[in-house]
Amino acid sequence: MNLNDLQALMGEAIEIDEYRDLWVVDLGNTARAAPLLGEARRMADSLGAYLHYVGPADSGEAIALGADRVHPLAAAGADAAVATLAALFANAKPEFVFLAADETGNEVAARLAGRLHGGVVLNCIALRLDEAAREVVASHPVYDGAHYLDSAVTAKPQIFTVRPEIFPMPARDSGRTGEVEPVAASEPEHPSRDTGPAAHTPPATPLHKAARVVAVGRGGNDAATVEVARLLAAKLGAHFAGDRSAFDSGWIGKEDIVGVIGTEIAPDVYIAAGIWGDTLHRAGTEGAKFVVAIHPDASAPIFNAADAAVVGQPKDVLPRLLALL
Amino acid sequence: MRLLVLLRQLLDPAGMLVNRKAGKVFVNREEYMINPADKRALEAALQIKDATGAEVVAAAVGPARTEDALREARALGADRAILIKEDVAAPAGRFYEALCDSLGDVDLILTGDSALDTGEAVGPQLAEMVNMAFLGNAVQCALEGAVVRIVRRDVRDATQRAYNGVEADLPAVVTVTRSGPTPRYPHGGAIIEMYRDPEAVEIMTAADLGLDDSALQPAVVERGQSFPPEREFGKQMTVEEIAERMTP
Repeated sequence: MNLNDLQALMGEAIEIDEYRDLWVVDLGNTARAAPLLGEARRMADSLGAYLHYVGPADSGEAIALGADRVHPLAAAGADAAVATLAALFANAKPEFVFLAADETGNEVAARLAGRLHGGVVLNCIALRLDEAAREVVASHPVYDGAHYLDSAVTAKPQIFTVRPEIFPMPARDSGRTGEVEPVAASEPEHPSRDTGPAAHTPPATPLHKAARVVAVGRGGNDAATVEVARLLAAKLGAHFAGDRSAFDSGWIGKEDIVGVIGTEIAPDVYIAAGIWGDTLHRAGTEGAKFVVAIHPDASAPIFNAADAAVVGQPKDVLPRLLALL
Repeated sequence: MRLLVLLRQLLDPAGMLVNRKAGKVFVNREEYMINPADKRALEAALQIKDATGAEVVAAAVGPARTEDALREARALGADRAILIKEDVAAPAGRFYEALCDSLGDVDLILTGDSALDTGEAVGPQLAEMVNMAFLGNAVQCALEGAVVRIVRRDVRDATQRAYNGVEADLPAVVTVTRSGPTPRYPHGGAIIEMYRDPEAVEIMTAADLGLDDSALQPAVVERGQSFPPEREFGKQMTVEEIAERMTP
């Protein structure tokens, strides 16, 4: 019985949503895309939908990790991936698409949303499935991670890119079965061309805007250790600075003093080596997102503001850190 | 040669206070600014204008206050400014697609890589809607005849410090990151002139662009806010763990 007969029989219009199934797209970074299979598998089970995997990973492996159908796709540039996936999704009409959030993933996801007239949420850090509404509410950071917005996509398909290390690697189940369907590769209409390595010197960032800062203080430091800290800063591409005691010791200039007396900073990574961390120093570094504190004295107040605390002499710790990075 | 620069006006985070414990964002000063990445895209466009004499058109979608952002763009050197006076919740891509049709012969569209307040990326979506080439995450952008060349961070490079050149034929869409060219400052006299000139910003509505209600349905809706956990006492880590955390 076809749908028209059924409708005539039931006397009502039956709406069949042609958008269905969940897709995980892997653009070559399988280590980041595989954890998405586990989360998407859970969603697929509660929605009663199939889970598809598009990517370069071994099809048996993708099935073992949770996929029902595998569409092998060799890793290629963003242009080729968009062309192939757009052609594939125009027929398959996915309900949900998940990608790993990196530069290429975000670009491909947003371009697919434009091509398919869907909606996209980039850089998600949490996904919550609303089964009744058949939508995913995704948390994603805004204002550089100051807070998160919970957004839902009302257009179809719903496309999400997910930050790495949000979901654990799913357990392998080698007893699972699935199908493999080949994908027809499409050529991009407006390809971009790679012209090879290019020179670019990022403009020198002032201390208050630096994304990474390595700062020294007098606690357990000597001139030789300060040189190691300077090397560490160069290796990390970080700004080299210090607290007032470092200035008094002549290790840094006056413009490189960190704290309320000096420059207030809010870097992504702040390494404080041998800094005691008085109130004014901590107030001046409040905005730092990841603070590594190294100090010989375990009662140093800098540890109260630290994400990673190492109680030890900077002259022991810094060379080891430098060697490991 | 016509360049279209897409701007977004958003709340200045300097006037906001995020209270993680209360789970609220307090807006102390309601001040607006141009999305930082968009401002750098405008600078890239103005540099192309300086080099080739191309026409720069700045455009924005938003309520009446968005005029300020466009007047700033005019004072910086944009030749025209178009405000599409509509609710910002509607998908901006649809408006810009219609705007490209009504302007005709747009050769290059520049915008920021993502919006600071919503994380939305208009550039790549628009590129597919108007069927143009797309180059993302540029830190430098230049025109050579009918080819646009950008420099961007090499995504294959693990140290994240190598750069790579990419080029495409016009017409194209280019997004610029916040490491793009440093924006210039507007001349004080130019700002006054733009605020005195009633014609400085052209105002359009969805009806002018031939868009109906179906095009104005938002594709992404906000369902609430959440907050990162409060900072706790530092975790003791070994040097190896720290090195692992910091190696990308």
